[in-house]
Amino acid sequence: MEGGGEPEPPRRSGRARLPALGDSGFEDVLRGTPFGSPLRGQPHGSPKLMLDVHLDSWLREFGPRGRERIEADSVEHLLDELEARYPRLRFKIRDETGQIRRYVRVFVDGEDVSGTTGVSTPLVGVRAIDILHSIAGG
Amino acid sequence: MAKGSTVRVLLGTRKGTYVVEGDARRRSWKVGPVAHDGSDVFHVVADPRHPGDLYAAVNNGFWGPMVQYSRNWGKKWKEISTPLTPSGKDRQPAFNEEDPTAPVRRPLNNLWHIEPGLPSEPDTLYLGADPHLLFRTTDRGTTWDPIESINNHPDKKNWAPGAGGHCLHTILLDPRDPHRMYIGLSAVGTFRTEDGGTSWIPRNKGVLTPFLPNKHPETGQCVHHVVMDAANPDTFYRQDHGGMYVSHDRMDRWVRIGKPLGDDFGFGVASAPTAPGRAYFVRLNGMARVTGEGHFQVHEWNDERRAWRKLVRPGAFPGHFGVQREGITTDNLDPAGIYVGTTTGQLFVSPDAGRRWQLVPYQFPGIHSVSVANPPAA
Repeated sequence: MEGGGEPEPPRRSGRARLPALGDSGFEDVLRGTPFGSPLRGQPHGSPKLMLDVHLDSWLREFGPRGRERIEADSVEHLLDELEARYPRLRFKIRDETGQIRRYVRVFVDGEDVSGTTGVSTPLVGVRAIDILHSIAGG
Repeated sequence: MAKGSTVRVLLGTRKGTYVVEGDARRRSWKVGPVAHDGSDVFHVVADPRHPGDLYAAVNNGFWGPMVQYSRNWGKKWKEISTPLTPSGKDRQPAFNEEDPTAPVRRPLNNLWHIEPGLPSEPDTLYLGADPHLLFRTTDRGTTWDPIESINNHPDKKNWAPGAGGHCLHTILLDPRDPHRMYIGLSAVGTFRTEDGGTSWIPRNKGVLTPFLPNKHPETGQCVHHVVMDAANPDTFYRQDHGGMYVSHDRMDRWVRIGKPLGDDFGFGVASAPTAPGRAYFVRLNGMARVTGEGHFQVHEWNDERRAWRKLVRPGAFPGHFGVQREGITTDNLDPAGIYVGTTTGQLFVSPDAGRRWQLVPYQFPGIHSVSVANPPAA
């Protein structure tokens, strides 16, 4: 899906999440800031980026069939927006207390944040979110 | 629908919902396709006020609990509003940093029981859930109202879970009085309200708590299931962790009846509209939680004669079978049909109040609940 006019940072490999200098206006904030630094605790209200959100095939029963473009600065805000667009997703990814369900995994540019920073994970310089069910059952 | 069909048996299993249609003699059974594939379905129930309406308490291991309904005998299902679902910013934090003394809000866990309301309230249903929650809808599930007298009960902090969690699993309505109802919670006990749910009084007198230092507390009993005698709404049959009991006075006092059986542990109990004064229990070994005799067995309690009777010829179905709290039920035909689902996926049926038994030739997933959609009255 094509989104709005937000500039997209180039995709990067590994854990680095820094947008290319000069293409987003973030350079003063992000220059030289390593992943996992206090930047990850940055409060909401940071500049937002358009993100690609992908749900696994089971979750598509309740949400978008393909990739969804969402502008958000944190996992919490991203899920708020996703649930606003697709109300049947409410309480499927998060429980009533707002926490990510035990057997759901949220990957931020490939890194699982479900058991760490969770919904408070900031999405600065991030390009892709994958929401999948975990290995479980029997 | 099978020609001459009489009853539909509704199964909630570890892997979904099944509707099993019987023929007129209740001897031949047709198993429909599974719905809610892969979900733990703790209870499926037909709404006798709206023929064709089914409700299911669906607990998905990944996506959480969902109330689902069907308006066509289970051919198609849809999710309807699940309670305790504040939207967006109304979400309650698990821990309120601004008010650390506020009670910690726990998420809705499993849905346990859906009870259609009385005929005089055709759009009302009740829902029991974990953690010790009771809800009522007056619009057939579009919206659910919490019954705060239970959900925020002042003694709730002392309510312990059973092995199945903080489950509110039993809801019974007095057909004579819409203001009187009863609930059962593990491991809390039974309560009665006389004012439509505004206030509740514990009704556990006489029920033993062998797992507590105090053997006769007001609450703390691990009630497993309770049914009302269809002909006498003041009489109740109770399967408790501490044995099998009867009450003849709206649960004011319980009398243990299971002692003659030795080990009177179990989960399931049923009564039949066409067999008043009788109750059907599946006795289990208290440690192994399966039939201890090495075969399938159902015990009938005759309340008038105060006597027990085995209904299944010993050895007819050898094995060790587990039966859960919703695992036994009856229909409203005469003679009564008795239906028992096991944790290993067998469905046993007696079409004649326990005289003869058959095993439905289908291997289901482990069965949580068995209920019956009775045929329309002639």
